[in-house]
Amino acid sequence: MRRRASLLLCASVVALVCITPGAAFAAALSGTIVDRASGQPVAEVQVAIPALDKRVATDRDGRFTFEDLPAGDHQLLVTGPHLDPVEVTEALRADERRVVRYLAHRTPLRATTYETVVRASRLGRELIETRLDREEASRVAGTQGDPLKVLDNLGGVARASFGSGQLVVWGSAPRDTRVYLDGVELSSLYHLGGLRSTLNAELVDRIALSPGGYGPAYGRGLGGLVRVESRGLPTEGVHGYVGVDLLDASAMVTAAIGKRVQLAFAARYSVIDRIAARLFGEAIGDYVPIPRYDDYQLKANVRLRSDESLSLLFTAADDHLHRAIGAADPNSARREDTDLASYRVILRYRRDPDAGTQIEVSPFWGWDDSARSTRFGDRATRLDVTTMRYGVRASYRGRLSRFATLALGLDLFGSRADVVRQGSITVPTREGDIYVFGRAPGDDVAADRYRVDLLEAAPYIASELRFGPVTLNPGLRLNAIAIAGNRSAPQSGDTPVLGFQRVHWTAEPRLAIAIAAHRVVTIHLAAGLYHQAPAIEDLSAVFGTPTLGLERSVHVTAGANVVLRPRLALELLGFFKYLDHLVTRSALSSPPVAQALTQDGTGRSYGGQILLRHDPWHGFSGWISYTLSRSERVDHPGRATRLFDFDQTHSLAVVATYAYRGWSFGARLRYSSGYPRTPVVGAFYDARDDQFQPRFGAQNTIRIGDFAQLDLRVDKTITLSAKVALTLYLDVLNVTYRRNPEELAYSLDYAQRGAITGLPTTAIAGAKVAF
Amino acid sequence: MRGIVSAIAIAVALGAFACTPSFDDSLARVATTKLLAVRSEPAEAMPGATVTWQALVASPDGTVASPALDWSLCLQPKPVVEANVVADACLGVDVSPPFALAQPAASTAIPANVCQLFGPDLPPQQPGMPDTRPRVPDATGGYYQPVRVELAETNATTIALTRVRCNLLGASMPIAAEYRARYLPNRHPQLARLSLPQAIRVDETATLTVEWASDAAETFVVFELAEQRLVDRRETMQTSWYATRGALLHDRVGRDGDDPLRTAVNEWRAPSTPGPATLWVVLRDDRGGVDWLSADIEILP
Repeated sequence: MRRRASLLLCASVVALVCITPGAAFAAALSGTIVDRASGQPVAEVQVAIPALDKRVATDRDGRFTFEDLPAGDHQLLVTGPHLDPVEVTEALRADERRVVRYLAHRTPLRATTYETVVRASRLGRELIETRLDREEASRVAGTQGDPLKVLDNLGGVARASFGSGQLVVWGSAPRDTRVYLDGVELSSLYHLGGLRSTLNAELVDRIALSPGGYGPAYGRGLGGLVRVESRGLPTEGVHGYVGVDLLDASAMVTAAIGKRVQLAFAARYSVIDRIAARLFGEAIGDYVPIPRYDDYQLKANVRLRSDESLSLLFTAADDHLHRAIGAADPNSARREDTDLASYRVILRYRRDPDAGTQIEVSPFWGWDDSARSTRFGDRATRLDVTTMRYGVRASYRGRLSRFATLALGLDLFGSRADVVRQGSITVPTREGDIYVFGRAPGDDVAADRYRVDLLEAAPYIASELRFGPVTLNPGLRLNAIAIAGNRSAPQSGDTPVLGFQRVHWTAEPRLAIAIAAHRVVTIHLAAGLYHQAPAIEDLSAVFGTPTLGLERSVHVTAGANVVLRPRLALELLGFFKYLDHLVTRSALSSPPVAQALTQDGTGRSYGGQILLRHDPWHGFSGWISYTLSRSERVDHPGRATRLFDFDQTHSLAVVATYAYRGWSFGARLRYSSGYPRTPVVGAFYDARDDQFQPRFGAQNTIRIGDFAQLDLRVDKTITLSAKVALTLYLDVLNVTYRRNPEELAYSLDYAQRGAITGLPTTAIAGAKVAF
Repeated sequence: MRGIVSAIAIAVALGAFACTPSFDDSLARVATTKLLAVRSEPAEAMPGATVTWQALVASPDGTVASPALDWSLCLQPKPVVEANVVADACLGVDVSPPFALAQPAASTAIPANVCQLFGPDLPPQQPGMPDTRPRVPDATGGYYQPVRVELAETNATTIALTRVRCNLLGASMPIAAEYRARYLPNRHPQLARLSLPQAIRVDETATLTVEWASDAAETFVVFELAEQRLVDRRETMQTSWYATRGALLHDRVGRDGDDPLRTAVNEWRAPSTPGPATLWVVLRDDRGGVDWLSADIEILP
């Protein structure tokens, strides 16, 4: 059985599904609408199937019934006064009489009518996927109301080091995981330091994490897949909020213009740097990396026809980090400057001509600007990358028969990057480099300036075939990846340098199988082949290798979903990932020119994860997620196998939230193993620079200490008037004041080792006024 | 839009964001015998030239007049994957036989192919094999011959880097010619004087001033590869301070290249017990030039 749900603003839904044999050929759907907070039935709620022009109202017991429905997918829309709209897709078989139970969330504000365009599932759900709606995610303790910060609490995702904001999924490097907003790739999901996501929480509808084995609609990455869906907008009136907390101040306003057009504008500006400077002095920013950030979004929705919509989304994010640590000795002074900017314009056309058919076209344009420089005494490094991105994602999905659905699509992506790079070849560090916190970079000063054009065209076909209890999802993605650059060799005097261009062709088969082994047990298997183009920074003729090809990985997963109780589900999953053609540094003392990097690396990740999840019910929701994994790499043939830099053996998250009469209480407990590090086994004195330099033992054979942290959250929503509500929240991080090690540090002569610890007990309070 | 909106934020508590461990790791304290500096003569050598090295070794009893040092040349180029100044292979055993054993100073000829090993020159191309990647210089445009020095008493390893004269990497012929004409090989800087009191009482703090010669900080030409141009730079001067007893305010004090002053000032707090103490100052320029001075001081009750 397949069930898809699409939730609009502030909506949560849980379906209790019972299948009973029926005598008639036509299907029927009946059920109850229940208030999520109180558990009481909700009367006078409109339940509609717009495609069939059917509409009923719930009775005083919250019940509704649709009879004589044809088999197939049916989109239901649940709306009502003081009720956040709910959009659900139910797939009914012939003769089926399905009974459902929906939990709806009542808004404390005055009734708001939301866009009533009925759509098929926006997210084309992956078989291996964890989905969270905005409301559930934003109440998780420790997230400060940012729903996108829950990602590393989900199965398959390693806990990121404090302040890194990195997504390490199933043992893949952070850069291998792709993040999409409405189908368009973002350069980063989080602001610098990982304090906030780059999207306003109120514009987020839903988050979906697929750690691997995903279908052919997506590719270009060896790691996981994160998809963020932006929300619909109110179709009446002017609404919005203003909020501020320790981290930042933000606001959003939406306005409906007529019946067809809705607009929204949101903005956020960080204040944490100024608060910290006020509390600890202006110099605090020089010793503790406190970024300054801002982001803003503009969204416009236009309803063209009843089955047709057009939306425009502009999103922008800026980050700045400047630190300068002076010293009596100029060679000991340090400086770090980072400026990041990212912009996306996404146009999205969508048409749902009938149930099961969907046409979507999303062209986009983007601009990313990244300027990073560091200086350790006279050792300066610089990496500036300016990238223009463009592309289009188009798809058609249609039902071929009662048992078969076909999707055709094109994922076209292009970029033009201008790169200026200067400094030591070992900076910035890459996966596989031996890293020591605070160590000065190498003394070599190389330089390169080049341009790379990349064009990736990926047509794909996906299908869904049902054979009784077995559902097959075979698919194929074809990639044509053209790479062109203007420098194939280092610049040398006035000698002209030739460029390069090449095309890589790949075919990526994907297959997912779901078997309804029992009424409450579904077994699933998935496998796929994935390729990834080289990073632009690696195509330097000086720092890298312009002729790098594609990295490759194979994902294989198997697992089972067990519905233990109507709102309690257990997911078990095992995974294996093989990677090859990985880019690594050349091991030669004198590598060939323009070949500082090789593709000799191989790797594998394997493990299992368990997710016990309680969907929202009577205000309670939560999950327990545990992942056991191991990720290994071999940098060159014949070399010893080493642990992946981000290998995390154990990762546990226990998340619970309870909402009651305007109050919400949350707790989050996390435990994880520390990342591997290479032990320093000695040191020698560098008499030229008057500093000690480390000697290392076997690579990645020790670990940073274990991490354990308990966070608590409470928030209270107060209705100030018929249209205005105030929400106050308090998020307390690390309530037990555990000194969690985040990194290893060494004394100047490397004779002593200690741990840099993360956050002490920290409370963050905030307020938000919504209208 | 109706209604007035307002918001407040309260920071109930904000701890520091992260805590770094504190180590008792001052390099200025001479508690055991240790090598403080190595000086080569000449300061910048041509490939194949004979170079003499001399070391400054300090102990809690003062300068060690004749330290037993083993000297060897490192001949292993550094892989690009390593961030240290020298290949790890040069730090192992039986890598390069010493050219002098148990000597306070030593001489040998640096390899004629030093600019192939550690510089931008490419070794002879093998048939069918691509050119190898030329090595890039440091921020001063320099290349260096590593010399390994072993202090037998403490089994401590020191790497000294002797600057060698190599060709320019990635420059056009005219720029390379201009560079050769303008570049002046490095010379060791000269310390002029170290000013400190003859005697000091326990727990008193003395101001120490060291002055170097007016021509110590040389101006030299550097080729900027990215911009394909020659620029003049003045050497940064760094002083490293050591003491057998007491506590120095700074381990190192320096002057940037654009700072015209030629003094470095430090503070030294005398120990709590009377007796003699020795202070050392090592002056380094950023092209590998070295000079040093030492002084004895009596701590009075």
